Amino acid sequence: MLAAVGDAQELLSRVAALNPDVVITDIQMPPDHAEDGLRAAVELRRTRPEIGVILLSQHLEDEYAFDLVGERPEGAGYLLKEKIANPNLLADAVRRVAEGGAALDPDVISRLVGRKRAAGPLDELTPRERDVLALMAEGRSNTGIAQILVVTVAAVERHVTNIFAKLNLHQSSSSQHRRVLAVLTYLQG
Amino acid sequence: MSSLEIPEVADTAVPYQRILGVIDQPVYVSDNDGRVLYANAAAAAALGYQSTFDMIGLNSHAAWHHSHPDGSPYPVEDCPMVLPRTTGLAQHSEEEWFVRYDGTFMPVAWSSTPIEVRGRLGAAFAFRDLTDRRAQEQFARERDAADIRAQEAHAAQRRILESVTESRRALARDLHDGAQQQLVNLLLTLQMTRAGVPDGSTVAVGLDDAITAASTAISDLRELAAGVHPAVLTSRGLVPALRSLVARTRLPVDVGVDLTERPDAAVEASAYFIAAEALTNVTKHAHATQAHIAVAREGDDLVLSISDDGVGGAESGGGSGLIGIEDRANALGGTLTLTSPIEEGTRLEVRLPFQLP
Repeated sequence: MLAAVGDAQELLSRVAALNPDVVITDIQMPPDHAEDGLRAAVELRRTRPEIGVILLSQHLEDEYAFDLVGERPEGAGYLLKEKIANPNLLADAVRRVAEGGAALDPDVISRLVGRKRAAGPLDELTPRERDVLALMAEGRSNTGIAQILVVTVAAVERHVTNIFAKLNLHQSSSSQHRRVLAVLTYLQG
Repeated sequence: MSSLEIPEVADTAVPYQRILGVIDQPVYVSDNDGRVLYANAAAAAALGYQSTFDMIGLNSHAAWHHSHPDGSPYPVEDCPMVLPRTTGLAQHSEEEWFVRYDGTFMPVAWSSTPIEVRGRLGAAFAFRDLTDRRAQEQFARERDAADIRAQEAHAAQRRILESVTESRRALARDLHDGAQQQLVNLLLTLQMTRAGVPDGSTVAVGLDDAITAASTAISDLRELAAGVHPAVLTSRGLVPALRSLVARTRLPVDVGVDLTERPDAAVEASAYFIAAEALTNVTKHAHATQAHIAVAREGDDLVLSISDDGVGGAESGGGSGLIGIEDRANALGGTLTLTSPIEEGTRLEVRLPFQLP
């Protein structure tokens, strides 16, 4: 760890000085405890796209996560605040955003996936395909998904193909980031 | 007018009495002693005398000006109506009361001018019954007072509502910053302790249970705080708060929005809690498969509607849960329309002022 800071302004100036790989910030920071942590995070991701940013939130609101991700899931992390108590989970998230991946809180994603909707293509997914969909939305790679579900990468790839077909999404260029964005956009709509 | 310039009582070429006899204006003439020499029909009618002849020869003060409305005597020495015939000065007032023949009082406006009668100073009086005007004035005063009371009651209602909203906001914030933060700290301690304990030991199992319980408590508290007052309502406004509400509802609900700017904060809060209460009603009573929330600006109004495809038959009042909604709408001067035919779903429309004065 390079530095700990007390407010959003200090965060931006220390980042400029220290060039960290990853920044972890709360949505709410002094002075006004509003959303200046979020604003600083979005600003950092715009000006320093190579830095991974993990936003901690007290609230199970996907809107903050969508604000952070914007059009670019690369290096975006969003965790419920208590998740920092789980060292493995935090370390995993830090590693993923440091490598340019996304790490969105499983609880936030599971609410997004589980949200009641009028009948639609999501109903056609098998329970296993819904699991894969949620893990994709969290920003995990096929390899990562395979490890968690304890299946082969090939099995995950088949699920992913089925999911994209059922949801009528284009699985273009197999880019991890486009995939995350496509899935998130679908779930948000 | 001075006493030296007393007009002639009449040009005998003009039949004044015949003219006065046919006009609506009550008029009478008294001599220097205050006795009535002449009264027209309008005066007799106004004072309740059968005929003008019944008035002739009466002392006007003693006959219809002897008492105050409270019943106390009105000494002639205090009476301004004698001044024209005693001082030669014209008088006008709207403060006197006459006593009718039947003993009832009437407020009058009167004017009097000195005239020469039989070589001495007398007076001609014209008066008007002010009963109707006083009644209208009284009515207007009472109406104004009632309006003021209604406005005060309304303002009080609004203040109560705003203080309730503020209390909820503060409570939710305290839950986040206090209890929830404490639980997160507890969870951190538990996790760090757990890291130093070998897997499979009794202590490890106990710590794992405690970690699960603390995590559940944090989630529960988060949901509780969001139900009390979602943070996005303050920071981001009505529409994100509604989307968040819908995400927490066990029913598919879509949100239609036609807003380009945020309404007044108190209006946003009311609209949000109305929508939340309405959705609770839908999930509890409507047996609906889906619901729809729409918010739009129409002129100076924020129009919020919540509709569902359930069993209908909802009524306001009673335990319907609509009382709270009605109170909230009324407190901001809003209106509420409930349409709920049996078996055809329910639609609740609430109109609130977009900006509060």
